[in-house]
Amino acid sequence: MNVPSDLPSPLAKTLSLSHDSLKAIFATDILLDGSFGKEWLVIDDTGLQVYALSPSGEPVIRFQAPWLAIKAPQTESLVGGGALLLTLDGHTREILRHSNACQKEFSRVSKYLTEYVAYLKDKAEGKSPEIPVLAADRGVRLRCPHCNLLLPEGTQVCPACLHKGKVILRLAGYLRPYWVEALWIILLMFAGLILNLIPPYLTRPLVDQVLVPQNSASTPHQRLVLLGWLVFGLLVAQILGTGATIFRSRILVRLGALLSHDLRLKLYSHLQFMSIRFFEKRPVGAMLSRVVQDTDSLEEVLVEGLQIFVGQLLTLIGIGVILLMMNWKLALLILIPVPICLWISNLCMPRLIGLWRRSWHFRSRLSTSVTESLSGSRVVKAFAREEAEIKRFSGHSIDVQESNRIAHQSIQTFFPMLWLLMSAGSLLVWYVGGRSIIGGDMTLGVMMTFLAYLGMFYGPLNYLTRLADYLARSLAAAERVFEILDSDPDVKEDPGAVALRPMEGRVEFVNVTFGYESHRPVLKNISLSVAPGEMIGLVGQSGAGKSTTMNLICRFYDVNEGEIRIDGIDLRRIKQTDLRSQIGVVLQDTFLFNGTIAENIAFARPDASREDILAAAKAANAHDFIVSKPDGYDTLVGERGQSLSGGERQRVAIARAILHNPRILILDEATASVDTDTEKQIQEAIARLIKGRTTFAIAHRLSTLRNANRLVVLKNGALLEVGTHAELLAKEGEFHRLVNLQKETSSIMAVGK
Amino acid sequence: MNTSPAAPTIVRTDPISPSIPPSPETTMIRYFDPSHLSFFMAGATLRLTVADEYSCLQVSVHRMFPLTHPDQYFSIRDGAGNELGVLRSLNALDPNGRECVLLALTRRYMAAEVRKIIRARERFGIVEWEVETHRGVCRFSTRDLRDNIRRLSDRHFVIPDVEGNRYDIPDLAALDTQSQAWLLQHL
Repeated sequence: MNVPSDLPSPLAKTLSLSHDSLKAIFATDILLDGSFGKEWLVIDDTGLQVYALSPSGEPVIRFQAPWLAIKAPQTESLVGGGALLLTLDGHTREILRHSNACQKEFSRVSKYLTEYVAYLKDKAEGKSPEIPVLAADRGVRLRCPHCNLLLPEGTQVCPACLHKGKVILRLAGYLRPYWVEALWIILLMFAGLILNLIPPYLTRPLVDQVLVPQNSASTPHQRLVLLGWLVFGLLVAQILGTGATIFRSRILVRLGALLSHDLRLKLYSHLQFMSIRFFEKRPVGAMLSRVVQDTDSLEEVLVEGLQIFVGQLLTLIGIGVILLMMNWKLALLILIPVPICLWISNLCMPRLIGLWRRSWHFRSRLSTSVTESLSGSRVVKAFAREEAEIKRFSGHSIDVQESNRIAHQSIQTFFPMLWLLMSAGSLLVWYVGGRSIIGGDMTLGVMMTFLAYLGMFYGPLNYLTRLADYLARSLAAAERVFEILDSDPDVKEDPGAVALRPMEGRVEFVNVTFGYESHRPVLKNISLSVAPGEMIGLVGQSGAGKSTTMNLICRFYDVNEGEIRIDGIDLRRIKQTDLRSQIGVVLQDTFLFNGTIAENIAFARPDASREDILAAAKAANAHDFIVSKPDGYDTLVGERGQSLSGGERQRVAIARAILHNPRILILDEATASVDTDTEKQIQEAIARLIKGRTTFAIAHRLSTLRNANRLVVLKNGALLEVGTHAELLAKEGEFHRLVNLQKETSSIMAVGK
Repeated sequence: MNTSPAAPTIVRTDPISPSIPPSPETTMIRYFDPSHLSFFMAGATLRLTVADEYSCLQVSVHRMFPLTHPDQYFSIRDGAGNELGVLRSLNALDPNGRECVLLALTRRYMAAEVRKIIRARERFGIVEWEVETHRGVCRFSTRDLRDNIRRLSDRHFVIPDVEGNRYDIPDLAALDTQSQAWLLQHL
């Protein structure tokens, strides 16, 4: 039974939830006067009641109606929500209102109420109808049950509840195939660290025993010899340290390039299998930025970030230990500003991170805008909108400039101030250490060594305070990359999906309801059975649902209700590769890839022989125009096939479909926007193509569907008429009207000419 | 949405004009003279009588520029969604009819006008808002706000939440400083 999880206990008590007569309870989030507030629709055996809570929290019935009084329940779509309407005593009454958040639920309610009212009517008339059942809630969980955070699209993993260590481990996991290189980097890093610690250590004997000897026991000659050894020691330490750095950097660069490639490939491969809905929601420019820029940022984290972080941390610990051993009192003085710095850092960092994100967003928008404008360059030129485009670009570029300026200026102000605060410790060392030297409690050599290590100590400390910023930037990139890698396609492969090869080509629609937004159906309750090899023409006004029907057969989207069967098997239970490899599509807006004509024809069958390609082109009436080109089948078609004419592109696409040899064929306005001669050639090619294949065709010119075995007329998403061309004309229904309308348009156009 | 579109509910009244009822294929927009229109409510339904022409038992009023010019250009549609005509402004309607239309518009356009931002907390790219609106206090979540927000001018913003509900900020400068800071932090 549908009961809201946050049902107030007084209401739950009043309704006695276990009572058999109770059917369902739905919560609304808006009151009838439009203000935000909660009410509850209770459906039981007696009828409907709407409950509200009194100011004292007691449940009160605001509306109730017995089943017999209820007529024509319906939901009304409003902007930002909807309303449930009933006809009572001949008047339409608004019963309750809700926001978009409850839209899906109230669509279910409305459907159920309609069915139940019809059921009661049938029952009263002595019939024995089936008791309607409230449709199950197919909504996916949107919020995390633990922290109530809205979950990222397409995943049930809550980023807030996800262990941070796991994210770092996940990142580190990409290093696994390159563990030998990583090991070398770590070893060289250790070696470099130890070698870096040697020079300051040698400062102490250099000062106390050579330059300003504390006892007069050693002769000038002995001091000179010692000086030589110490300088030699410094030289060796520096040469080895530099060698370790060079080797480490070279391995690092190699590892970086490999990792970057791996990440880009992984991301791009994942994108290839995402469903159409995923791309509809995201601009191409933003995707481009993720594949190119964000993978580079991740590489930086993995390669440079991790090793620098570990290196700096070890340096910090190593020097800290040496300083404490040399003079623990002085060492503690250095640490006084550290907690203050960390506190300030934690306080300011979220704002700095926000500034970076903002800057990233503007860069991404700029990139989207450039992609869009360059792809549409013909339209821009045709409408002489160059200046406007420059102005638009300039606006976006200024946003990038400003957001970058603010982010950089804030960071360049924040960190020097932090550094100033942090280095206050060294002033204390000078003062306290100087007093000790004057008092004879400390040698100058110890002081110099201490100060040398101190210089090395603040570096890593400063870095670690910047680490938050660095990690924030890099983890933001990681977030964006993982967001895609963790997104599941809407159209998922069923774990028990069956192979269907070869396909016979029988297609059945069983009570199919579908909407791009599930609460706004584009197709409503469509049922249709198509025999193998049959050609179906889909007819209807623009927006009737023709292209949507095609999208569903290709399984670019999954149906909301009902099912589509191919050879008796639910589409969702067929392996996607089997399904797509046996469905061919020829669209009005033909998309060819940048490559040769031959490569484009062989797109779905790269192993096709040259003769297969020739045969397909010949059948598609494309052979002659291809051969007449200087480069024949090796002609480059240009980006999106721009170097070919519309009719040529269309015929290459038909050849591509012929070579693909699908069992089910989809032709969406395949002959639109070409001249009559070309259309004739394309029609001939299509006639050859559809032979023996189950074909669904949409054509603007209804006369071109004359050869279809059956025509299906759609109107506002509903199936209106099915029959042959002649049958539907004789019926004088919607098809007849559309044909007449087209005749009128043609005659107007003819007069216009 | 399974709004069951009622059959066109146009009742001809005498004298019958040959051009009425309007055909959906008409290519010209018909601009109504407000003085010829009488709107009135019957239950939850808005009805319209066009003087000397017809009465329509169920009409809806749609703003044609709901974001940029909410007070101008209204499409009057019958129960089946066909446009009967366009009203340039509500000003010249009779007071009662104007009130009915305003009521229908308030009902249809459910966007809440934000008066104060009480809190805005970002976690993992989701901003959770608590705002005070002209319809009371409410909470909502936004995702990819920078991509989805509508900037109608430098000061006018419309925030869409993840459910598709809209929250209107007609004048950023009219909000208190803290509210402005909350919003600008996430833009």
